[in-house]
Amino acid sequence: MHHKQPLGNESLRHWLRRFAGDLKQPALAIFAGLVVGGMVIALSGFHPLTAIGSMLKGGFGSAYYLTTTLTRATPIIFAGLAAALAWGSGYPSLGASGQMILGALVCSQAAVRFTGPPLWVITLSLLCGMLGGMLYSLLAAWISDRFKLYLLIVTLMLNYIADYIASYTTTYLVKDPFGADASAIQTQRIESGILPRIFTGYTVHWGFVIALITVIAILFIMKKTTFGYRARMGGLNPRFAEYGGINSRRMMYGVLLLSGALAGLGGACEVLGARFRYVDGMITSPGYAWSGIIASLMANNHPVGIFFSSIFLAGLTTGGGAIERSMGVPSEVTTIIQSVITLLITARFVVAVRKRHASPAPYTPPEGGDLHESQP
Amino acid sequence: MNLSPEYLAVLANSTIRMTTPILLVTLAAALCTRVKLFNIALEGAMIAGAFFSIVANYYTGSVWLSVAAGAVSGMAVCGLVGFCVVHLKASAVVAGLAANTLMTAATTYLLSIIFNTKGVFTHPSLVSLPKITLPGVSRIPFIGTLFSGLTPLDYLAFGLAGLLYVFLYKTVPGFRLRAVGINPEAARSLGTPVERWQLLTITFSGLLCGLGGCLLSMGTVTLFIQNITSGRGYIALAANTLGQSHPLGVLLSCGFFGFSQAVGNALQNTALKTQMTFSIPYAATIIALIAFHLYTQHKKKKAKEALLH
Repeated sequence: MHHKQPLGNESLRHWLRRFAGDLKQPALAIFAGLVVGGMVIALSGFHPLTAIGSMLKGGFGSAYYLTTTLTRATPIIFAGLAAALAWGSGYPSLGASGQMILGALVCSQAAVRFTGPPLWVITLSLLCGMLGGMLYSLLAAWISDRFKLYLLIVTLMLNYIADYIASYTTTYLVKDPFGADASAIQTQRIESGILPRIFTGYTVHWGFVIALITVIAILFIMKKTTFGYRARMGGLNPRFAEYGGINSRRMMYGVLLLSGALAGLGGACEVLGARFRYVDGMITSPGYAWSGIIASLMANNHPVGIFFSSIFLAGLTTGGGAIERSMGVPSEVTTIIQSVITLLITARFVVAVRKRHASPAPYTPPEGGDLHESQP
Repeated sequence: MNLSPEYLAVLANSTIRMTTPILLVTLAAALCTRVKLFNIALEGAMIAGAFFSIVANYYTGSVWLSVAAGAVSGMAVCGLVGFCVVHLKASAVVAGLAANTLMTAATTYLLSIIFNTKGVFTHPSLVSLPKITLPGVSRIPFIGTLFSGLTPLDYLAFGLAGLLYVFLYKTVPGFRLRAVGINPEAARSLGTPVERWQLLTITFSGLLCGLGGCLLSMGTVTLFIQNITSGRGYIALAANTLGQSHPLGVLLSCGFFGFSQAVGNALQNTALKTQMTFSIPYAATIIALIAFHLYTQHKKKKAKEALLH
C-alpha cells in the first residue's frame, strides 16, 4: 500500500475546506442568477432548461465555442485584474471602461504608425496602450486626490468623457481612409502589428496568453512584494496601514496607475488580437469593464480566481449569443444573469438567517457611505 | 448665436425642463444620504420608471396609471437594493451598480419581448404628460415662454423640494430620519428602528427616481430609448454632494446641472460636434465638484484666520 503522509493530507483537507468555503458565496450567487435567468426565459415563453442548457453548450460545448469564449474572456481578465487591484486596495475605481477605451484607441494609432518587425510593433503598441490607460487613470487619481473628490463619481464621469473623446477622434481625426463602408466609425486596419492566433481557424489570440502571464505577474506582485502587501493592507484596514507607516497617498497613485495600465493593456490586446482597429463603442457595448468588476467580485479579488470567473462570464455571453441565434431569446438575458449574480455576491445570507435569533448586529456604515469628503 | 430675451427665455425654459428629472433623483439621493445609505441604484430606478411608465402607457392609455407604474417600478428597484444592503449587508456600491445593469438589460430584453424592437420604442397611441398652461401667463412675452410646456410633474418636483425641507427640519419623523444618519447607534439606543427607517427611505427614494424617469420618457418627448437616463442618476450623486443633501441646496445644484444640459442641447445646432456637446454635463459635473471643494476650503481658511485675530 502506498503510504500517505498524515501532515500533508491534513493540510490538503484544510486547504480544500477553505477553498470550498471561498466558493460557497459565488456558487450561491451563480445559482440564484441562473434561476432568475431561467424564470425570465420561462416568462417570455421559452423553455428555460433547454435555453440554459444550450447557453452553457454554446459557451463551452465545443472547441470552437470554447475558443470564442476565451477570446471574449481576454479583455475581461484584464479589466478584472484592474478592478481587483483598485478595489482590493481600498480605492473603488470604476474607471476601467474609460482607460480601456483610451488604451485601445492609442494602441490602434501606434500600431498603424510604427514600422519594423511585427514583434517590435506589437510590443511598442501594447506599451502605448498601457500608457494611455495609465495616464487616464492618473488624471482620475489626481482629481480625486487633489480636490478630495469621490473616486467613484470622478471615474464614472471620466468614462463618459473618454467614450466621447474616442468617438470624436475616430469620427473626425483618424477615420479609416480606405474603408469601403463610409458609415463605419473606425480607424485604419492594422496590417503588420497584429497579435497572431494561437490555433489556426480559432479566434483565440496571443492576447490570451499575455492575460495569463499578467495573472501570474499580479499574483506574484500581490503575494510576494512589499507593494502588494501594502496594497492589500490598505484595502483591509486603511487606518492600520497608515499607522504601520504606509503612505496611503503614494499607494493610491501606485495602485491606480498599475490598475489603469492593466485596463489599457486589455484594450490594446483587444485591438491587436480581435478587432485589428479601433471601432467606436467596441469597449462599451460588450461591457468588458463591467464584466471585469463582476469577475473580480466573484473571485474576491484573487488573480487566479479572476482568470476562471472571467472565462465563466465570457462563456455566458457567448452562449447568450448562441441562444439568441438559435432560439430567439434576447441575448440580454446573460446580462440579467450576471447582474443578479453581482447583486447577491456581497450579500451575507447567513447574517439574514441568524439575525432573527441574535440581537441586532452593530451598525456598519455601508461601503463608501459618506459622500461628504469635501465638506468642512 | 442671437442672445435676444426670447432666446434666453427659451434657454431658461429648457433649463427648467432639464432640471426637474435630475432634481427628483437628487432629492432621492439626499434622503438616502440622510440615513447614511449610499444609493448608486438611482440610475437603475430611473430607467425602470421611464420604461414601465411607457409600458403602462401603451396598454392602458392612461397618463396617471403610467405615472403610477413608473413610481412603483422605481420603488421596486430601490426596495430590492435596500433589502440587499440593509438586511443582507451587501455592499451598497456593488448591489447598486448591479441593479443599474440589471435594469438596463431587463428593459432592453423586455423591449424586444413586448414590443419586438431593439433600442427605441415609440407609438402614436402613447399619451404624454399634460402640459399646464397658466391662465393669462402664456401671453406675457418673457414669462410666457419661461413657463411654457411644463408638466404637473415639473411643478411637483419643485414642490417636493419644499415639502421635504419642511419634513426634514420641521417635523418629528424628519428629525428621527436625520438622527439615523447622524448617529445610528444613538438613534437605536433611543428606540428608533434604524433598519426600518433606512429601508423605508431608500424605497421612497425609488418612488422619486421612478417619477424622474417618467418625466424623461413622457415629458418633452414620449418614447423609450436605451440609455434614456444617460447617467443622470450618477450626476444626481454629484448634485447631492454640491447641495450638501439639503432639499433647498440641491435645488440650486440641480439648476446648475439642468443649465449645463440645456446649454449642451442648445449648442447642438452650432458648429460644435455632438460628441463635444454631449460630454458637457459630465465635464461640468467634475468642474463643479472641484469648484465646490476649492470654495469650501477657502471658507475654512477664512474662518481659521478670523479665529486667530
